[in-house]
Amino acid sequence: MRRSIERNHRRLTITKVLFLVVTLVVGGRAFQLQVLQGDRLMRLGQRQHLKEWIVLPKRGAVIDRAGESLALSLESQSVYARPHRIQNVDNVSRKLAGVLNLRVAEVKQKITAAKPFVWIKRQITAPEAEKIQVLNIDGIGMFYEPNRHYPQGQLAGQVIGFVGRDSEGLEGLELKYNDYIRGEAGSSVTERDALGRRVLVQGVEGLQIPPGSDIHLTLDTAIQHIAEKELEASILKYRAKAGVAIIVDPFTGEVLALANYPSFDPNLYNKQSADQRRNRAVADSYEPGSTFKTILAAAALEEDVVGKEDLFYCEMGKYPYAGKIIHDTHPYGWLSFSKILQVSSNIGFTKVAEKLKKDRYFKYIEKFGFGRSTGIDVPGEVPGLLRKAETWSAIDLATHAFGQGISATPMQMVMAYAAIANGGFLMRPYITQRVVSPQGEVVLENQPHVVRRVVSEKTAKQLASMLSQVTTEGGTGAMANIEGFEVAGKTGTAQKADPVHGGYSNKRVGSFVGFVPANNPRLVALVLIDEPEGSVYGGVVAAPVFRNIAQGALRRMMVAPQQAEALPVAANIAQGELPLRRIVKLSSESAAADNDTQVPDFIGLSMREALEKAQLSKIKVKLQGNGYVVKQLPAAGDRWNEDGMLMLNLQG
Amino acid sequence: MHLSTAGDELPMRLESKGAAANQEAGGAVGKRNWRQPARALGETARGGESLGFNMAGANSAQSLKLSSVKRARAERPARGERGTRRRRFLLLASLTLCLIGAVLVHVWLRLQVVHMGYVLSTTSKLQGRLEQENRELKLELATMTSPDRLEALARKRLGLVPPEKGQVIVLP
Repeated sequence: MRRSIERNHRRLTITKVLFLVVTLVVGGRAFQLQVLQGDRLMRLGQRQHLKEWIVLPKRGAVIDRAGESLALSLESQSVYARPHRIQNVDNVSRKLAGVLNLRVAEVKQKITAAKPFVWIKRQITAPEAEKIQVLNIDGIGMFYEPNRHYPQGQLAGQVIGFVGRDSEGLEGLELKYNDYIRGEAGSSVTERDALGRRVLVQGVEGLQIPPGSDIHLTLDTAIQHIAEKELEASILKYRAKAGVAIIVDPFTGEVLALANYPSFDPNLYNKQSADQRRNRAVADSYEPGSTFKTILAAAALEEDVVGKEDLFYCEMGKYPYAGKIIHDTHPYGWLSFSKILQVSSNIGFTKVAEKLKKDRYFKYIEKFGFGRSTGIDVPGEVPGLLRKAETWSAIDLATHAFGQGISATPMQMVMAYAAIANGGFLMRPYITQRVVSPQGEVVLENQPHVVRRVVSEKTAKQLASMLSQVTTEGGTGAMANIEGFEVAGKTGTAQKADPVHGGYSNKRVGSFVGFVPANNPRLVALVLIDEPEGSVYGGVVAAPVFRNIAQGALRRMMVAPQQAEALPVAANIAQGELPLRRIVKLSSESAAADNDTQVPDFIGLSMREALEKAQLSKIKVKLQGNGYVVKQLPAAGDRWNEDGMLMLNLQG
Repeated sequence: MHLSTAGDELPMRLESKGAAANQEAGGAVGKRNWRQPARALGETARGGESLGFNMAGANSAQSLKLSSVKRARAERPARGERGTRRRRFLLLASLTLCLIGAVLVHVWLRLQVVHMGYVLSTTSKLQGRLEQENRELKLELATMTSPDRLEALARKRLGLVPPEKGQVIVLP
């Protein structure tokens, strides 16, 4: 009994010791793992199940005023290889070539290259990427690479600019607004399982890195297209070197279109020359030539030096001035100021400049924004060259009068005309309406900005009516005339300075700047053709381009023709700027008989026929529905109501 | 003085407290004497004592018939002990069950988290793919509606031309 108790005691002691030892060993090991090697092991463990995911910045889009995309970003995967890690070269190259649609030999050559890293194929499609993922070959991997697309190709290419390989804007708006549209790069750490799949136990907040903001332009893709197409057609026709067309809303300064030739497709930016990339509208200055006479005219009118009907003797085409002889293309005798502008007489304008004096003239040149950048939101703008009035010699006053010896950018020119069109305010042009963040907040908004008042409204109106004479029969810009609209504008044919021999070369710049409709302008446009051959005159090479662009743009902007020419029948009768009232009389005379007494029959007519008939007999109609007239009120043969309105119900 | 009085009363109070507790625990006992505390309470109020509810319990014990007290003393402790054990066992069992339950819930939640993590991962992947697809489609749309292409199509396939003079009628 006692022995057994002792034995039990011993056993108990042994067990105790055993447990103690085991506990100590376990504890020691735990100490070793947790404390001594804890950090290292934790890192190792985390490397096993945590993975950092890199989120590449998503670049915002560039959108025109109608919502059409001009630049978009996509992500696509690119396959790379680390050649030294690839085991079975033949097998791997066969598999890769099969998936990626490449030649086996080509792949093999790449993965046996003595480089640590080679691209197998860049920007593969999503199904290809999935197949590569499934293959899961050691030493073959994929990267996401952002990739910029310009779906409209060369449309407004120089304005939009382009993005380099590293997703940084390098030119144009892509450069100017890079900080806004670039978007943030980011990374987040997520857990992954034994198979490397992501397990998002912490949720997805960390993964959602917002893309860059979108920029909304004032450009209108349709107008831009018309501008580019018409510009190109004329340049090809006259074998010119280059050209620019700009369309601006005169009251806001919004740029509706900005076309450059030669064109530039930002999708293939590295295959094109810097000459193609240049946005000539702001980056090049030129001697404007006769289009600049408008500035002098505005200054002279504003300073009350001359009146619209003041007469000047134009010396029959030859006028000795300050030791040189100033020529006119056609000899003229006595002409009124407005006629001088219409026929663009150099001699006449020299005399006007003499009356105005150079200091006052210079003041207005500066006020119109020359010699200083316009502040438009595209990079690379130059201020042009304007010499101070003190440095002008006697002949300089004359040359400045007809736009030689001074250089301006096409954008400056168009804004100066916009000032005349809008009643005397120099506006700051802009091409980006707003920048909108992915959350829909407006980050930046450009508002119309008046730089200064240049001339009074009276002067502007007077000048506008003078300029509209330029596009009538007998004016230099007759080819810019648009049926149904009164066009105000001025042609210019400038001599180009010869950079090699000094003086002027026989190369020319033909241009036309104008606005339409003259009394209530909706757009100002400039067309510039650099070094045309054959005909060199702005009135021939540029004015028709202006007409075609403005016509298309007005149609796009739903501006109805104001004048009678647009009416189907009256078009033949009316010429020039015959006022609407006259036509009304003409047509209502013929229709008067039944018009006053009985309502004509419209039933069965198509909408077009009905409207033509209504227009012809000056009936005010109200339309309902589409198709053919099924009902009219008052009915045919009835008497008119007091309001004289005819209701037409149409049905397809 | 006061202290000693309290000391005298203490055992009795304790004892009766136990009895009161037994009354509460043992169902049968409690049932038999269920009117007693109320009456005792009334007496306490009459006696003008202000020792609270426990003291009232002591008074109630005093007012019981001696025989019944004796009988109660013989039976109650045994029954009480068994009750206490059972109570402890029940408490322990329910605690254990709760613990196991909590552990199970925790494990289940953890599994759910992992499972949802997978679902989230798949969904977010899907979202990414759909967004990418959306961008691709936008690009395609923009390419399709580019004015260059539209004009070519309008001219070639539909034979459209810009409107001639008089073909445009302005609606009133």
